[in-house]
Amino acid sequence: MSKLNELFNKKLNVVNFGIESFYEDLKKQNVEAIHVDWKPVAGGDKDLANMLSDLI
Amino acid sequence: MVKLDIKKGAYYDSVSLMIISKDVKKVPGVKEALVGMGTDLNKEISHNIGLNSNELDTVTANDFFVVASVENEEIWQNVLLKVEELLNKKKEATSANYYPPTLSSALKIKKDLNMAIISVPGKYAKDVANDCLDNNINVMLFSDNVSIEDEKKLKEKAVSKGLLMMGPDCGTAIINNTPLAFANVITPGDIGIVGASGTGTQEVSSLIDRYGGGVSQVIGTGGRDLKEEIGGIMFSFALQSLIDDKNTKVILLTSKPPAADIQTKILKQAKDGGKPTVVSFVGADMTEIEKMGLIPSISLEDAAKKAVAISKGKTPTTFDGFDLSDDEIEKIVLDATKGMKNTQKYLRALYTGGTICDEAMKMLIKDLGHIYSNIPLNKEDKLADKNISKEHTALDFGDDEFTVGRAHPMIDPSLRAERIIKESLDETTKVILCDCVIGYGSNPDPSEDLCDAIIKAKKNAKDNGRVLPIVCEVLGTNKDPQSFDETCEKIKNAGAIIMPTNAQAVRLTKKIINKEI
Amino acid sequence: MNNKFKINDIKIEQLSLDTYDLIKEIKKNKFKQIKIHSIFKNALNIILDEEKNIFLSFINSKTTIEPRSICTSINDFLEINVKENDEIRDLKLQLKDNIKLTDLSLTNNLQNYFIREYTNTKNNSKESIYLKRIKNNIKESLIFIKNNIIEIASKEEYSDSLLPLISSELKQNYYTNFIKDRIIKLDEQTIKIFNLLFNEDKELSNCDYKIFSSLGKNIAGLGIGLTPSSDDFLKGYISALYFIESLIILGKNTKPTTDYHTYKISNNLLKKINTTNLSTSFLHNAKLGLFSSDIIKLYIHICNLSLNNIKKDIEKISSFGATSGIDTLTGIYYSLNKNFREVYKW
Repeated sequence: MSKLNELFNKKLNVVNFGIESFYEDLKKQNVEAIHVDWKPVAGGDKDLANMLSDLI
Repeated sequence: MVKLDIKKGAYYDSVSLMIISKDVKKVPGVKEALVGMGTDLNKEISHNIGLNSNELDTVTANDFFVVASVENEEIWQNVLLKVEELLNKKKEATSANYYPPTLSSALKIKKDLNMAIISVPGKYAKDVANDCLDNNINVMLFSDNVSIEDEKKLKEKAVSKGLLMMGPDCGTAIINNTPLAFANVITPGDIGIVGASGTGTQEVSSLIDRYGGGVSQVIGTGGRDLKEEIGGIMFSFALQSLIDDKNTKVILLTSKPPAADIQTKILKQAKDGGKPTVVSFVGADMTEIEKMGLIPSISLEDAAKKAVAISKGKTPTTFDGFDLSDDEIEKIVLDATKGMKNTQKYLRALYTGGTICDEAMKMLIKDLGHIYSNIPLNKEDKLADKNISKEHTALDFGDDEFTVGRAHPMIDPSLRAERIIKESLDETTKVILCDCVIGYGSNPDPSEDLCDAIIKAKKNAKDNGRVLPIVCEVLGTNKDPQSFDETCEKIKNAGAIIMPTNAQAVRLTKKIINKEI
Repeated sequence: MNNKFKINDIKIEQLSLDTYDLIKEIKKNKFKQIKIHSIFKNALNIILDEEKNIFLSFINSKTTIEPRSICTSINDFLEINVKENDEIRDLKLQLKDNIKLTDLSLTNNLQNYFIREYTNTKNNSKESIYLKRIKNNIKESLIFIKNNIIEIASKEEYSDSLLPLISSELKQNYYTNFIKDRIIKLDEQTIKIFNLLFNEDKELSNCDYKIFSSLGKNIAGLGIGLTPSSDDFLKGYISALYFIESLIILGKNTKPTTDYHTYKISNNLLKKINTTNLSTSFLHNAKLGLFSSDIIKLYIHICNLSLNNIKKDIEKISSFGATSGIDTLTGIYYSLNKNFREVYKW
């Protein structure tokens, strides 16, 4: 019996990254969900991301 | 009594201040209230409406103040509590539309996240998935363009932690009866599905619902899981969970035929699991499946029928016919081909769902010999130019080649619709076969573009002295957000022939192609 | 809280010309004590010089480009680990090579627009065909804008804004009742100046702008918000004055902002005001004729009578802050309507 089977007995609590309509569909069904307004850190520039890591 | 609260040098965003201003006035026992920065004029107006306080003189323009006329001290304390509560909300989610920018900020707001849907660009998807797994969150990875090595690592990590890692390239799942990404609303029941293919899973689950059955869990693994390099890690893990799931009585497995040794491993696991298992490895050899005591199927439709039969305690029988009677089918074929020109020879299958396109090709290849495609059964039948059909052609518009820089055709069906019109101008087109997928994730009205295209296509043919039949299956259930019945009705009224399943649509198409003009 | 931290190499994607100059000063280490002033989701304000009240805002693409602001790719400033009043040592701002510079001077933008359009249609009469067309466009735009704003006025969230000032038929509130007579006094003085300007009356050179400072003192700083409503109103009001003045001097040679009579009016208006330091900084920008790109676009669209675009501009401007945007819009409409009618005898 794995942890996955435990999930089958729980209420889903979803986090959505990316396409917003997936999140909106969940909300329409009254599913517990949150949408992450995901963007690559510092516009996708990896070096910049490292430099900014002090801030974030 | 008039009471005053000052927050020196404090800055709050205007939306918060507006909310505070309105809410403070609503606190019971508050006769009048004013909220704002301590400018001369705000102090003056305060005075004018009877809110005089000596302390007000000490407030400067850069201080925030709340002044209120209240019945007693206790009420004032309530006001202060209200203000604190509203001000502290500033840095957290104040409205349902607050979207945190990272997983860690999301976790601060919602502590029990247990499932993630990830559809960020492939380049970043691996890191987001890793992050989720590290936080014990199951993952559904819709993104593609993740390397096979990364997929393996992610899945190994997930399994070691007892978590799902569905994908990459997994578009369909139903967990705890919740449709995720592209999925249909299916009656809850006792059939558990593990699928390595998106529309295949959608077709089979929708039909299970149609035939009176229901699903416990529908777990997707992504298209590469059963390949040598991945070894079926997630498929096996998901299968085991269904074997162990008390709510699952029947198991259905669907995928393209796996690598030989992986197939054996999976089948053996299912056999040892002891639950009746229907296997839909479309195109695979049935013998091994039967030898293991499992139930093979000849199509997605057949798999769904068999699973429902078992679920209801009946004997599963193979179905390879039509819902309508032979006579009715004959009539349809006659009507469809009457008035055709003898230039009309070829099939043009234009699908938004990859697996059902694949199923169509497998069902027709013997009769047609060669079917050119962007996802051909044989390498030599790969279309040179995906925009130009050759003889018998079947296209998957959801494939990368068509979707680079565009939305998936289930969201934006315009490209496939244009192609329908294009094919109608080709004198050699004998029949067009297509699908219309509804459900969550899909366009709110996927039939709109399709109907326009069907009407135009039929007119183009007619103007040219031809008759062009268009066969279509609507994939979905009557619980989906788009009305299943209405969608069928619209497409039928546009002039297409609606068939209840992909398999039957293909069978009808075969009859039309084989009909001599 | 005196946390040292570095904003190293934030890549700046877009900024306004006026900010560009400010950054050059920052690079020369002109500002010794730079502090974080306020942090919001889509904006972070820093104060470069407390005494001279010089602010600089970091924003992201979710807000329109404003004067004295830098557009960054930072999604949520609340996520950054800094607090209000933190000192910033080592402020390094990296300008991308092909950085986009936007001119936020309303008068420059109008001049460019007029020159482009005007040279095609100018004839020798005082009232050119072109000017006639623009005036008609303004009249029609005003009607359109009023209808649009009245629709917005029905929303509960704007009940404490200055929006009701645009029509006596709308339900007034404490703030509008308090301020409307004071604004009428302001109108009287601005119309006086503009009529003299329009008639090229020599009396103009004898005008005393000092009266504007007591008028301004009596108007600024009223209402809810870090930028009180009446300040936002004034910002809009001043933008309309610059616009009308630009019309009056249409076709004449370009003048630097300090020669505009609107500058003299605004400069005096702001001399004795009492309001938050951030709001003072924003009003300072308005005085210099610098406005957000949304506001500039609105005026161009008014000249063109591009109603679709005007509607979009109104939506964008009015959605800013809680009532900031709507108050600014109120100021624009009120001032344009009143002053334009008086000057052009409509």
